[in-house]
Amino acid sequence: MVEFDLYVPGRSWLHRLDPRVKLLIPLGVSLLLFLHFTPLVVASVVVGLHLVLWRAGVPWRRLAWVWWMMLPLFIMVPLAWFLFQPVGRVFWSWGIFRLSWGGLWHGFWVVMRLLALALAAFLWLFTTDPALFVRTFVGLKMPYMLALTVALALRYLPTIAGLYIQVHDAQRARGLDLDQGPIWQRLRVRIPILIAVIIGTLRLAQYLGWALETRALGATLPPGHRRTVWRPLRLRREDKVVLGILVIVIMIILGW
Amino acid sequence: MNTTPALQFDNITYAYPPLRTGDEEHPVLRGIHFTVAQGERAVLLGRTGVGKTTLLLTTVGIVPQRTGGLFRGRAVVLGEDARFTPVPDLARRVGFLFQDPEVQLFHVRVDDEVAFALENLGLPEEEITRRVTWALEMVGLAEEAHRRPAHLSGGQKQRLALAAVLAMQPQILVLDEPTSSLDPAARQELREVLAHLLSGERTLFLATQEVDWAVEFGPTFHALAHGERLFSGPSTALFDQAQRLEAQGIPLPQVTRIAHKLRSLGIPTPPVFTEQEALTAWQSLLAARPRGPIPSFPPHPRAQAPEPLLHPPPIHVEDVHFTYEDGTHALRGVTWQVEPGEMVALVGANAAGKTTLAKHLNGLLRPTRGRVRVGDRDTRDTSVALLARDVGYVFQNPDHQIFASTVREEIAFAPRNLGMTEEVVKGRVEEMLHLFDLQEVADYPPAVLGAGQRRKVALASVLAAHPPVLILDEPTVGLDPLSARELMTRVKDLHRAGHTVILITHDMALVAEWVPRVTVMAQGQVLFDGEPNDLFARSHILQQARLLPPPLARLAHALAPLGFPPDAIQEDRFLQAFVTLFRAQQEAHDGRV
Repeated sequence: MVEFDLYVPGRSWLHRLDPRVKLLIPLGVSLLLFLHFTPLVVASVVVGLHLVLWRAGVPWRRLAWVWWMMLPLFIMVPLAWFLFQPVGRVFWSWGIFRLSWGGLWHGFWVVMRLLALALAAFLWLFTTDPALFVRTFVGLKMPYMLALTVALALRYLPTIAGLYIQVHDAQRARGLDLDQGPIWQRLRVRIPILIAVIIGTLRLAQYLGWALETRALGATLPPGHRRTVWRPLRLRREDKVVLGILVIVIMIILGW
Repeated sequence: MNTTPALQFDNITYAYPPLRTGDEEHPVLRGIHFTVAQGERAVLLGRTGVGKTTLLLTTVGIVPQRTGGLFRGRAVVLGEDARFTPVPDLARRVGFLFQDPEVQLFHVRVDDEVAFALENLGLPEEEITRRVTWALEMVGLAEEAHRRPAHLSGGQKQRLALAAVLAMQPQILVLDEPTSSLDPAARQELREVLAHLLSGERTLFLATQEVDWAVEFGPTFHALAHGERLFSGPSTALFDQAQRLEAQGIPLPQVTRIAHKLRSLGIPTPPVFTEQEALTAWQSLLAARPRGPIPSFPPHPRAQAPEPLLHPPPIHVEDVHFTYEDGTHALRGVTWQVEPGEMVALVGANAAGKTTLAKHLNGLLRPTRGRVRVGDRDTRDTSVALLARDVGYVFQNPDHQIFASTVREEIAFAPRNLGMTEEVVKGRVEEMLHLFDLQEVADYPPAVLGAGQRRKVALASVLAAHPPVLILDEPTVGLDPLSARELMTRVKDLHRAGHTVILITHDMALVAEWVPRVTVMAQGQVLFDGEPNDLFARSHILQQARLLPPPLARLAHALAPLGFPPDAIQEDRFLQAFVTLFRAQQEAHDGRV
């Protein structure tokens, strides 16, 4: 089974925090990183986010996974800055190449900033139950249909990925050899798989649409009535306190 | 009693929009005319592709509001014309359950799933909470309220979807083949839940191939054939017209079919519909006469070793463990062998490891520990493409392999992949079109054919490569008994021609009827390996594997004290044994008089 579930179940304060308030954390971190881009700030944010996530019970493997995802950037970006974007003294140049140690250093911190942004975004995803996604969007006054569409897209990603694997297996079982020949040929032999996946997805989408309607989505309601949000998000006292703190912090960042 | 019918099909004729512009419309429904009263239980029967789902979809207005096409007549739901009422508004009256749970579970939490429709109806929060609790309790999922629907078993998913429509408290429940993906134990659970729900005034209208399952509701049956209504009536009428209905491929309960044949052989059995009725009737029939000498029954003839035309490779599975990436330990030390030319069924509950094991046989999965050998090849260092020459695998869902723009191209795919010349490929395609009766649709896109035909295309497209070993994953699911029988006859022919055949199935009646060897899996291990007959006598193994013996096996077993051979579990042998026993006792009786 395929799962795209980033959520790490838990009961830490971060898990219990209203997801709308929690969204201010990545927002604040982004503002800080773009307005005050210094190695010290970036390093503190990276270390700080690791501490917070660790305290919230996110296993180290998840954190390692974030690093792993960023690894290609850690190699490519500093290298590119080192070769082409001089910072400080250029010690060797030839044509477009202008090598500088300052570029390497700067490039490294550019990627660190991306890592910090990714960690901040994952902080929200790791500690927010997907069951609250729609409620969060609706709670932020997003139209319900839009919120539902986003939620359905996330919900059916694993289904479609599972479909891809099934189709892939079925075609291989009929002797489709995917690992032979040059790259264009390998891509070409995948066309039957994509076609079957697209047909399957369209079939799924058709039934999905019908099924949504038979569950009264878009039902005519008596005048003055609206669609209910069951168990909507409500700000508790703790949420308001955290909200206050975060707003003050963000104002400091903006006004510093 | 309210006299407005729950459902009224008023002379409905319907044709889907043509597949290709300029083509003529072919009506799938022609002049369908009948009513379902409030509180009635009605069951719709008919062959695969006959238009059952289409007719059901008229009750919620999806046909024709969403499908277009040519629609004449009226579908009236509690006095309201379904064609002119918006689909979401009809949902308040008609709870519709689709066949596939995947398309109707939209949420990531069980209780949110049930609340969804109620939110859409704008009910107050407290009312929603109350109804969510009630609906989950009704279907036995109260404990699972906070779980992810994706983590539930197949049977639980189907019951969750039922709870979600039930929460709207519709007067009418319309179910489209609700049991087709369930294992035997889950089927029984669903029936119990439904029986409990129907104690009130609720109307039930369901389409199914599982007439043995549905007959227990004591329903009115309606049968469709060639787009027309062939029959309406209670189960007793089903018996009277058995011959006509069978000829049209309308499924009858197995015991009803047998009773009908017994009658034609001169045995005075009353009409029976459920296993319990059959047992009572036949017990008294056999016990009513004084005991004569019990005739001896020859043991079931072993199938002759087939002519070695194909030389399929033997398959050896040696202490195989397999763990999926997400940590699911799906196989836990499986040792298993299949000799050349054997026919064996792999059975067990959903998620017992059947499909995981089967995927090891053509290298789609490689063991985490242990090894699998196909002939003298170790699957760990042989490519799937190479193994595909020896092992053909027909997937459960035909849509997973269908991609080509014509049936012809679809069938040609595997032989071409295996590097056969165009001439050979052409020959194979013609052979398969002929074998599966697909000539008429040879130039159609397979994706738009009906379910039964898509499955035939899928089978043909694997068989075209002539693999000596054939794996079939749930080949008869969703097929009507006649199509299933046709398919199994072809599979049996392949077996006779020397193919090794491995069948993955839930259907114990199919196992009893067709397969000499059965392997039972549970929790990733082999629990039993032997003859079906032997299996059906071991209740603790059946229970552990969530299996139920088929009606005939239970009957043969229950009649054994009266001299009935307990291994007569195939229809023909059952009939033969019954007649022999009955006549022997009659002779003894006559002799004494």
